[in-house]
Amino acid sequence: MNEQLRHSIQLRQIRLYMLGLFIGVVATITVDMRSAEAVPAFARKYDATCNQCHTRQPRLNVYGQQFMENGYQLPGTQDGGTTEKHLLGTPLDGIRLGDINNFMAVRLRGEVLKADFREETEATNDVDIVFPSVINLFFAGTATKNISFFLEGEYAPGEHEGAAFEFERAMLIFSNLAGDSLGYQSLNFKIGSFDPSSMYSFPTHRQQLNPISPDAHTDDFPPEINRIPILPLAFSSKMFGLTNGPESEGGEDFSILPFEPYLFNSPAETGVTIYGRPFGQRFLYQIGATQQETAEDEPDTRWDSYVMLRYDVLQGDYSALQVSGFYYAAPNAARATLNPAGEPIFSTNTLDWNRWGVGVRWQYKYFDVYGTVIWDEIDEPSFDGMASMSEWDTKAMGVSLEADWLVSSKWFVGVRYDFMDPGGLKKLPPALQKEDPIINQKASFIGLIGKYYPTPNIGLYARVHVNLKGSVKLPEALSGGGHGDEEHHGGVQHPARNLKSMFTIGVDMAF
Amino acid sequence: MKTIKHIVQGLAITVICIGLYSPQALAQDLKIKPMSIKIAQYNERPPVNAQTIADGRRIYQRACVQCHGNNGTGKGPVAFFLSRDTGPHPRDFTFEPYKFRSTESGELPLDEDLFRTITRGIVGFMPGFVGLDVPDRWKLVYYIKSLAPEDFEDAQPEPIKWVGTPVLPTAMSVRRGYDLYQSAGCWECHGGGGKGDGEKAPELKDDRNLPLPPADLTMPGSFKAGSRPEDLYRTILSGLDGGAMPSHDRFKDHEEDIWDLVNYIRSLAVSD
Repeated sequence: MNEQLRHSIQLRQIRLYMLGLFIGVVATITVDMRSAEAVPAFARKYDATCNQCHTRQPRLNVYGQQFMENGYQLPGTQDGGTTEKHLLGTPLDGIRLGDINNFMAVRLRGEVLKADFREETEATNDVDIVFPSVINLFFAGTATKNISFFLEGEYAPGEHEGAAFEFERAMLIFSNLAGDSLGYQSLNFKIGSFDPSSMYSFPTHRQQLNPISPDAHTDDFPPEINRIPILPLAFSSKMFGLTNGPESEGGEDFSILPFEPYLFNSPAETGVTIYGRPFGQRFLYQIGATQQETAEDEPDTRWDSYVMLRYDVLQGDYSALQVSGFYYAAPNAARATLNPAGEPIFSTNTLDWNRWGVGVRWQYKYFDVYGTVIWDEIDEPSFDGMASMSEWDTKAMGVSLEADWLVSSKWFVGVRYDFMDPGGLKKLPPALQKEDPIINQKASFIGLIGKYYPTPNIGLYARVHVNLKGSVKLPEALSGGGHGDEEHHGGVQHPARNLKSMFTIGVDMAF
Repeated sequence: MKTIKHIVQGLAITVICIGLYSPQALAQDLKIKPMSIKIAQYNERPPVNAQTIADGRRIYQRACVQCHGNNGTGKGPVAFFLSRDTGPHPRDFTFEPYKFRSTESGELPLDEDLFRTITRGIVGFMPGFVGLDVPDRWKLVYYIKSLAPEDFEDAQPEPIKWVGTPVLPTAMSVRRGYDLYQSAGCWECHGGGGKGDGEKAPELKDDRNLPLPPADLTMPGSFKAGSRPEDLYRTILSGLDGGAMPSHDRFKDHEEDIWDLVNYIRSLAVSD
């Protein structure tokens, strides 16, 4: 059986599964809409509704933020998750374990996408069924008083071809280490793989408009970008023309995609962090380090460091206001790279990368408004020979703003605006690029989402994203490569501009 | 044939997923919590004074303010996300009546009532704070009382008449309970089968004029005031002030009738 036929059959099978699933979901919701309730793991454990901690799943409200900060213990307590747990062994040397369903939860996402490109690449204007797009399996809770764990396994066939189940986030949290001596919850420690920005006013994780993964190949340079991802652009690397260095060549992490979450705003980085509220309930600090590899010819371990400060300005009548700021330093993080003759040329220096940002979140009654501005700066790259004539921007900036409105108990609408003024490679050497369009083009999207929650743990949604920027073609020297056909002679669409719009319907459920 | 097979497989996945969060699964999952006031908890009760009330305020600011708001007005930033269009909203401690009491309707609650609610929480609405140390829970009680009108701190409310030994749930007792369920009009709100679908159910509202559906008596795990026999006894006799459940003090001199009714309600449960 040839590959194309097999692919066609698989696609048909997936569509039939999808149809069966869709019928099942709709039938169940229709028949039993009244009495269904939400029961993911933490809610099960504490007999609480999902909305105790979420504005609407998956975004955390103020209570959920503090529950997370306190190591998955109720705010104000050091309960160790003792609620409804069973003691195995004798009282003195026994271990406390809850029922498995108090630790375990599953999240399932699937969607149907319809993209509209200015110019089709490997990604086309066809309807694309991605179901499941992501399945997450969580094991989380408190092992004992002030010691918590969180494991999140992910199977994401919508993100990678040949996806396998792997642990995306895995961490241990030690809470309230200073007792009350320095103030309640003044010192907590987290180690493992986690989102460094989880306590920031606009965390990378838990978006109402879930990230839609890119369709790109990053094992080559320049990366072949068939479809950019849909996510808050402020989080993305925002730098064109960078790689993780010669040693990573041929691997998936070779090219640094300008549109993917990076540094402080990564969904998961391995490292350590301490955080706490030493001066009462308003002020939160976080200091951390993540372990990475340098982009040198012979990579070495590098430690990125960051600090985040948050001030909860207001927690009053139906409202909460918080502002945060962070600084993240990544030494020897990247190499500027060119590819004039099919072979990558690397800058002679590795580039330090610094990132800082401010974020604000305001919650009022059933409105939740949040935004962030993030700036990036890299060292000026230096090259030998003709490559030294290339032009580079060392600074970049991105903005993401979102406003969510809980229209009723079951209906939710949100709007997000994203803007990116990228840095990195601006122009190839004059010998390679005579025409004007710069390479690091600005990008801007607006996204609208409507969600229906038949129960608090199931969100059925429709969303649309529209590119606010017009058509721009890449310089001819970059129009071969990934897109690689002669028909593109004269320049292909810039990846930031090629996607005109995307319409998505899907389901996001946790149980 | 293969087409049908794939659709059926998709449906099967759905059924398994739905089964994991179905009301039946929920009913089995929500366990009846133990009664919270124990002798040891009385023994750990600190004195009421300015210091313990101040300590209570400090604990309140960490544990309660997100829902009940500053100064106990029930206007915490999370309040609207908890229940957007229906009751109950987080309680306003400064003037609203207390639902979960073991005193007569219209009376203030006992300290033990507040302690019990803090400890056990309210299923589906408020987590139980059993993880707070016992003295800290008492201090919270003192602080919460200090938020109410002045007379609360010195009030000495009388508990409802209490019967020590429940009537055994025999067939006769359940039958008598059924008759009382009909004659007392419980079915008007809770429905003939106890599923909370009585004819008056859609019109029921709380003191804030928010819709507040009656309890589904077939799912004891969801009873806000608790589902142990003594919890039901207490709720029938004292009602839930501020909500739609009236007190049935016509029973107060007929304790056996209340236990019969309790036995009937417990017989409606789809699971134990």
